Amino acid sequence: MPLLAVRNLKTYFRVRAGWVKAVDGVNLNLDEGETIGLVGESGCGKTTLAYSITQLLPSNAHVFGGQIIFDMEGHATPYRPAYWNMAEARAAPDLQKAKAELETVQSAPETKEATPRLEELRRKVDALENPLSETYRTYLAPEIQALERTVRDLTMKFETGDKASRRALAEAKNRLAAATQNGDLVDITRRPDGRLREYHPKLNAVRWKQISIVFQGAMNALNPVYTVGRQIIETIRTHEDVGPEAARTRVEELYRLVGIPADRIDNFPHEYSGGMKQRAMIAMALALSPRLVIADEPTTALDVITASKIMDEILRIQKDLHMALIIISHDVSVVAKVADRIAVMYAGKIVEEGPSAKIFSRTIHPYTEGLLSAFPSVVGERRRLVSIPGNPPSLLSPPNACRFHPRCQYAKDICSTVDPPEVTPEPGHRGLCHFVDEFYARGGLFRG
Amino acid sequence: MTEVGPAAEMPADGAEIHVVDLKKYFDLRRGFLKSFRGEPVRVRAVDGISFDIRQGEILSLVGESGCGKTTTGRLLTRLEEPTGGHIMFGGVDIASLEGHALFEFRRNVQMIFQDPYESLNPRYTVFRAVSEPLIIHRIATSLEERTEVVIRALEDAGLRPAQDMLDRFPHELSGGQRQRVAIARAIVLNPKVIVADEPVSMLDVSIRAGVMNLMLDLREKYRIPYVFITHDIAVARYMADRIAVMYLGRIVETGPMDEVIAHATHPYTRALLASVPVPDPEHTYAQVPIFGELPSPINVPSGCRFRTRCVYAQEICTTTVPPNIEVKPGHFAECHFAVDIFEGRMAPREAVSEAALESMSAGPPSVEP
Repeated sequence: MPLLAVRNLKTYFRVRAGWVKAVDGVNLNLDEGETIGLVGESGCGKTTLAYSITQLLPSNAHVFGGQIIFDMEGHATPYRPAYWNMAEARAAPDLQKAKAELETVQSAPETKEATPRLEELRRKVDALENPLSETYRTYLAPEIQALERTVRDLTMKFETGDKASRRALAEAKNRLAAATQNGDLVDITRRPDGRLREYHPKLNAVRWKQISIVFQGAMNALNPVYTVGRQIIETIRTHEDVGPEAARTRVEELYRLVGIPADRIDNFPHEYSGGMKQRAMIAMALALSPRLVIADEPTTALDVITASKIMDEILRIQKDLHMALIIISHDVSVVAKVADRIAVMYAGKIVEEGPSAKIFSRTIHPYTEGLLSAFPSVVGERRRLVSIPGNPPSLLSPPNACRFHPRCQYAKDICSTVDPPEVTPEPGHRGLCHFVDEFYARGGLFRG
Repeated sequence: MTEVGPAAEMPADGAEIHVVDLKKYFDLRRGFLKSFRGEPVRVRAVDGISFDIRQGEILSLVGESGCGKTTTGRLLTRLEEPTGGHIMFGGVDIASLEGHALFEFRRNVQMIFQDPYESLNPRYTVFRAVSEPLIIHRIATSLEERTEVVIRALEDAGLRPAQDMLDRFPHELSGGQRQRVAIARAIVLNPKVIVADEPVSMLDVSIRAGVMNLMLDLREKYRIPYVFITHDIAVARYMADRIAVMYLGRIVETGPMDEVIAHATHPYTRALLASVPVPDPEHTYAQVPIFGELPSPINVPSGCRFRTRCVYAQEICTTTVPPNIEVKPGHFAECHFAVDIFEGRMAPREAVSEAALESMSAGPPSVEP
């Protein structure tokens, strides 16, 4: 059962020209102790996805739909899918109705009264297609009420001495947690307009303690006027009630873990080399033994030798501490080296996801093929690289239907008119394309 | 530096540029009082390098940040004055060029910069950016002629239809298109040599392959030699015929690209190759054979400058500067044990243990220029 489940997430940025659809309906599951690599070009939404999970979005970001469920206790997990299905089944007629009405209003000649109605219907369809936790709760209201009653009754029974009801009580509580969408980070902090609150006590219990992030560009992520040690100690003491001495001892341990000599704790960032700064950032991310670490381009600004050492270090620590890891990179080879699974992102969507070996050996999305064919390698034959024609689209007005179709060599008419379905030709390997099955049957697209 | 490889002593046939014992030192500014006593602090960015650029070939300078590869590129185009050594171009040392001869030189050696967002004037249209060199050098004096030459250059750079590009400003172009404009501007004067400093490292992956292929195609078409400066050895392998690996201001290994990749001899090149990630999840990686971090270019180690990080280092490496040894025709490595390593007769000094790495990383941090 997943530690982190991102479901239909939509994070848009408000800019003067409209909405930048940086993350537009992303699904991603991550198990405990697993490493997933997120690849894509700049501007495809990888970092926005990471910042949505850690809720470090700028103030013009709005989350319009979806859930980010971080399973803190893990008990609610087995019951979740059943409630999701139940709610979606109940919502289906409403969705159909709204869609039908939307179509009739759209096709009718434009009038003044129709415009607000159109907006309303669009919003309704969107809310039902990418449900937030509150949508689920409205459709699950009877179950939630019943479960609340059961929990109340069982608690009373348990407290009056009926020890036999203990098990039933635990189960009812877990069911209630699942039905109320407990653990959805978006639900905790989302304001009515879609922006996320910067602070919430429930979020604070998760952030950095359970989910931490290694920021892109360590050189800019450290404060130049404080010593590095002080910054890490501050992180520890903000979240945990420990004395300065104990926190310092912890920093020493962390430094040993990431391979910086302990006598460098009281140096300022400018006295560190680039690689050491990156190591210090990793130490900071690990300070509270999180269960999930997101590393956003952790080695991009570093020289190859330093980068390879730091990547090895991250993997070693991850195995030792059994953390889940999301590695974000534009470099397919970095991700190929470290990740169990790879998710390829293009224009705000995950277009292919699967086990690393499968992504290479049986590529089912044309964009992945393009990405892999564009990478030079120091081993193997020197083959002619192939670039993808055109440019990544603007996320202000992405192409209709399949977002890759203007650049795709296999594109047909259907690609510009119908949204591509998500197809899973083999367990754990999915692609967002009309022709996944055809590509899969061919034995994959990429010939390395 | 007394050791100069044979390649440097004799200009090879068809060498376009011939570099001998080139040096560039930068004086660091120090405190007011300190500046009165003692030697000035110097960064030896380029410290005695020799190489040739031959007709029609692509030579890649590869190394980590701070190894002096960009400074070398700037010296070749005379954007910096060398501290010592010679750069021979057309039989004359470019340091001695003045007046009209320098003007001619500037026409013959063109540079492509790393960042197309900064190398193009945002207030110039594409036409003006590409035609400006023509105006300066008084080539194609009428507007019609100029337009024709510019269009040809833009089409060569893969910007089609070029007619539509002429009136655009850089902000209307994508990163890949901008770099193509920069390439068009470099080739419009029919230069004899192009120095490209990390021309693809700012570009997106899907765009990068196109720009690299374009540069290869232009080489095929016009036989212009390139100096291709990059930190990415995989990119270098794709682009270049020959490679020169730089470390702390020295060229430590040079030779034909495939030969160096297959039989890397200098311990630094070996470490560099071992640390490059490979786009193949099935690839098995060996431990990277290197210790510690890059030393400061102010305090370059005595003897062999790689010895502090070298897994083969021995007594002699501390005391004696290594000779440039030709392990195979055209393949040179600057290491005392080059032959032994090349023939696989050399065992690493000790296993690259974590304890050793930890004790080594306590050294001074590297200074980024």
